[in-house]
Amino acid sequence: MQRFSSRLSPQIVSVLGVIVIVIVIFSILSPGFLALGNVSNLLLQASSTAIAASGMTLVIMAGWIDLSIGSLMSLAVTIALAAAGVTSAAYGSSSIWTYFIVIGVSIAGGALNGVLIWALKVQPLLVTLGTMTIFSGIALHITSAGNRSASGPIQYLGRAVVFGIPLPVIVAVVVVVVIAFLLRRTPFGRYVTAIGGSERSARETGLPINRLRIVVFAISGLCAGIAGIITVGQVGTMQSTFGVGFEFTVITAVVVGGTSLTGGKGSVIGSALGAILLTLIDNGLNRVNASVYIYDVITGLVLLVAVLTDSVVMGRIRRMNVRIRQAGLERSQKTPST
Amino acid sequence: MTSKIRIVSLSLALAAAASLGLAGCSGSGSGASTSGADKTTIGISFENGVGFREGQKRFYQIAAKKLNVSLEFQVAQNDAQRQSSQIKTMVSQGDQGIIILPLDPVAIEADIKTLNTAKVPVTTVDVAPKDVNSVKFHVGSDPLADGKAAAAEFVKLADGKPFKIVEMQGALNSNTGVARSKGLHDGLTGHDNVQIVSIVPTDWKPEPALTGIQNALQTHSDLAGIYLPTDGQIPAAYSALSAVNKKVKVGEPGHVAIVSIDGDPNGCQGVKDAYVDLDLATDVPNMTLHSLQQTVNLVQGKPVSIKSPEYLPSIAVTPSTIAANESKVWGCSQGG
Repeated sequence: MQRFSSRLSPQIVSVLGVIVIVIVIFSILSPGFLALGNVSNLLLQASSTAIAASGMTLVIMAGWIDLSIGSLMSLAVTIALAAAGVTSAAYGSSSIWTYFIVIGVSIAGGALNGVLIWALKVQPLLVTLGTMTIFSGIALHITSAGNRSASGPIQYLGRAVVFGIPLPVIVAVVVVVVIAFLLRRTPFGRYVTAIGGSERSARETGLPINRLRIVVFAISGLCAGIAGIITVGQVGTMQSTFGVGFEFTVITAVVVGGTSLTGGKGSVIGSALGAILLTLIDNGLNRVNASVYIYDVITGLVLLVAVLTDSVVMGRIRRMNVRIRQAGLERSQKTPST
Repeated sequence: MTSKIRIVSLSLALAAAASLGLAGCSGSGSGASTSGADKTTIGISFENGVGFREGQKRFYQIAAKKLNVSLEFQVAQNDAQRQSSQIKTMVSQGDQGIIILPLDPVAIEADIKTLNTAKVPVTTVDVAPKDVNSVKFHVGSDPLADGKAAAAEFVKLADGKPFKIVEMQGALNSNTGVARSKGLHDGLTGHDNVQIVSIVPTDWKPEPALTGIQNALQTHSDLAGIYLPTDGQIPAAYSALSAVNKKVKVGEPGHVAIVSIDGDPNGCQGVKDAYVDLDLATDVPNMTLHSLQQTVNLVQGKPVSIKSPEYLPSIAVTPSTIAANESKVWGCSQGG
């Protein structure tokens, strides 16, 4: 048990605690909330946010931010559908190349963010705010704000089921595991954490910050692209509003999952749990037929509770660590030197 | 240092070139104009750029050709402040008349007052200002009647038996969305066998509609109907139904009824394919023609020839009536 708890960070424990409370409340209000079908539904609905949140965790862990992911995924899907000859909501179909184009545009768009931050020497917040507008503007220009059909092969990733498990859930698990591994077990992840701890110190120790930044933003773009393919595939259509506000949902999932907005501290698994928590709330409110006017209030309250729980748990851990250190110091002072 | 300056300059130059290129090849973007020398120019201010508005824009262009006038479009992208400044810009550019699709029915009154004071003819379309008499002509659909018609269809389909439906709510900040929802609820009053099991806020988007329908199907295996306030959500409904093997045609066992509003290409095709029970098509061709015609009348100093406000009834089409009414449904024409 001790070994198990030592593997779970306090942030993950606190978000898990909130998830359990939300599950208990909705299970009481809506019997069948934990039925296998609904759990599968929940995980399916959380998969896109969890994938994009994994990439965003890297960005935020490094002390940066990426506001452009919603627009980038919209642009990538728009370009890919246009390349496949989709011209309206009722005409045209995607092809297998649609996947490659979405992935290519997403990585390029993400890398462009990294290059612009380096070249213009401007804060990531401002650069990605700019590219957010540019990406969505280009997408709007291509579609003339019209809807686009997302039929054909692009639907496969969002709708396929493998051994009874929706494919997006499997993809999300793979992405979360790979990025968690990158962050925890590789020099790349340690560099990202170090930059988030102190970019100045990281620079002074000779870390290739500019190159790392391009890679981190490219990964964030890639994750957004995968999330875009899954979402569009599930919905079967793309509107001009596609991706609008998605960045804030993703950033919320990351922060609720315990990643510090100032960088240096966080967890990809926590972000995935944050995505699940956001989906749980929506799913539960749907099931209990909550008033449409109360959705935002409830969501905001649960998020506040999650952030507060994290802060309380972290505060207690800090105080506990101080006490342990003091006790150790006192013991060493009492022990006669040999 | 020089190389940095060069990179920054190059980036800015590329961005500017790209912007100019986009603007240059734009025939339909914000601020695009269908101009012609010596023609009357009418400015049209849209509140946002979505698929439905693009349909309206296309029919305005058809009407403009018929009436031999030029159009200048501006899209406020859901920013009331921007809509106000775009209207001022259109006037300063010499547009002789202005058609407004208000984003905020209250806030727009100040702009209407300014235009009336400046004696620039102004009319509104689709969404009425708070005081509809502040403009000489308003034409729109009747979202409350649409909601009631949808309710009547569900009542008819239920035939007195228990009938569970899930409602997608358009947008809480949209008069049309609120009225379409209210109409449905008003129409179902007194028909207790038809039960709304869940109301899902969607902000007109298909993504929340998908999850909302998935959740409703999961919670209520006997779900009998889906109410969509916009045809843009039809593909999302298909996706959710397909996942549980319930995408079944009208009249076949296991069919889940779909009633939707707009008459866009999704709606037209859905009714033709017999997956959508009823589509309430907004009369976009007449709405745009009447709007432009009356604005031109005002510019030419003539009185409006249609009583204001004019609320055009939607064209109700079902799988059995679509063939006869296809020409009246705007989304059935090529490309929507």
